Amino acid sequence: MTNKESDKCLICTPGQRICLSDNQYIGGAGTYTRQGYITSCLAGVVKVTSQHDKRILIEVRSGKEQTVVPSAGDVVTARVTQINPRWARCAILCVKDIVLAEPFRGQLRKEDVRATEKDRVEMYKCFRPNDIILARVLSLGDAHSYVLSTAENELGVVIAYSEEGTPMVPVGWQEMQCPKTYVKELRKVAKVLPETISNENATGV
Amino acid sequence: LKTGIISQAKGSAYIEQGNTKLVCGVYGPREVQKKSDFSLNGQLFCEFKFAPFSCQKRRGHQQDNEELVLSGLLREALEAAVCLHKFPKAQVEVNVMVIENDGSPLAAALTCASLALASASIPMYDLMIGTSVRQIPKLFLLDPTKDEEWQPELNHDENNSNLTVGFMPSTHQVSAYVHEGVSKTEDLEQMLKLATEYCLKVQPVVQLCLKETVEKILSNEGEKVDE
Repeated sequence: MTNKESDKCLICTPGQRICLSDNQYIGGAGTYTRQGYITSCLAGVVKVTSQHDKRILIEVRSGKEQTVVPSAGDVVTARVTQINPRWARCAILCVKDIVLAEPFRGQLRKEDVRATEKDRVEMYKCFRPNDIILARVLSLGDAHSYVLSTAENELGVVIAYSEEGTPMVPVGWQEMQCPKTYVKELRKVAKVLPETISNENATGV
Repeated sequence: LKTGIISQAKGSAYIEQGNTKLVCGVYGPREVQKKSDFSLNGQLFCEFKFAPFSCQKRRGHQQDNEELVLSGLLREALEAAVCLHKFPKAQVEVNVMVIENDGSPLAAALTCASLALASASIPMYDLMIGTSVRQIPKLFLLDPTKDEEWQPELNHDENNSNLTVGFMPSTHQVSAYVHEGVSKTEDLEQMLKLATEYCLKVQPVVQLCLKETVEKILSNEGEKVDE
């Protein structure tokens, strides 16, 4: 095993065996187990962390962004591209907190917008094109797009622009207000914790 | 051997094997463009292209049959090496362009593509190294140049052939095996053994290149943090 040590980092390449896979060592992200050894999947740095139950977790982290693909159960950030009375098409921009290089396509159906009163939802009163929403991936869907859902309190519209173009401030569950013209518009607003809102405004998402 | 030469691509590599020069760019994972295929595993799209000035006779801009065949072979070989189940419903694009062709382009492309994939942080089971062996009566040549390579028009007699092998060193698996010409089975075994031994020797070079890439990225990040 040719591991080069520089600045106390162990660098490894794909296919390189890291250690024996027994009860003490678990393979984490970026590794796979083969023939009783934990082998690396990526070209990067080996991270060794000890866990609560005294077992050691081995992960490989590469300097570049991880290859992330939305999977079922992830909370994603998306921008609404098309609205229809039955569904809304979105472009998935980030998965959890990793920004994607290229957007994937997602579809949000009318029944998945809210948890209560699913059949009396009107899409135009919940979303508008170019809104940024937080949604959860329900499933991989079909070849076209992922299936998304906003049927939770914390999910929904985070950033929306009024007809004039200024970002609006949320005023309750169903409404957002423009700070310049004081016009209220209807949206399905996400209940985001205050620190998170200020973070998003600061990064200008 | 160099990585990171295409700044816009997710991962890229450049290889010079003798006089053969190749560039490979990797993009992805992206959404699958062709709507017909839906698979739970990821997909690989390989494109192999000779630059018009790369061979002695000028090539056209569109892909011709030979390039299509080589693209297919490259794809089959890389599918064995990449962990496709880690990116469902997404595709990874591998584009190989030959700048100068002086023999065994497929072998160089295999090595270059796997280096580019690794530098793009795409999960792979193992690195892939390609070599080719040329057989003439009484001799085996490793990595032949264009003049030494087997030409379908010239040599039709026995024991004249070309073998290109794609080998994964740590797992000892052969994922590409392309043979052109006529050979005896014992000679084939010997050629395969030669090729695999050579691949094992090349493996440290590829690994060293990857390590330098990782170190460069780490030092770049360190500078950014200091700023």
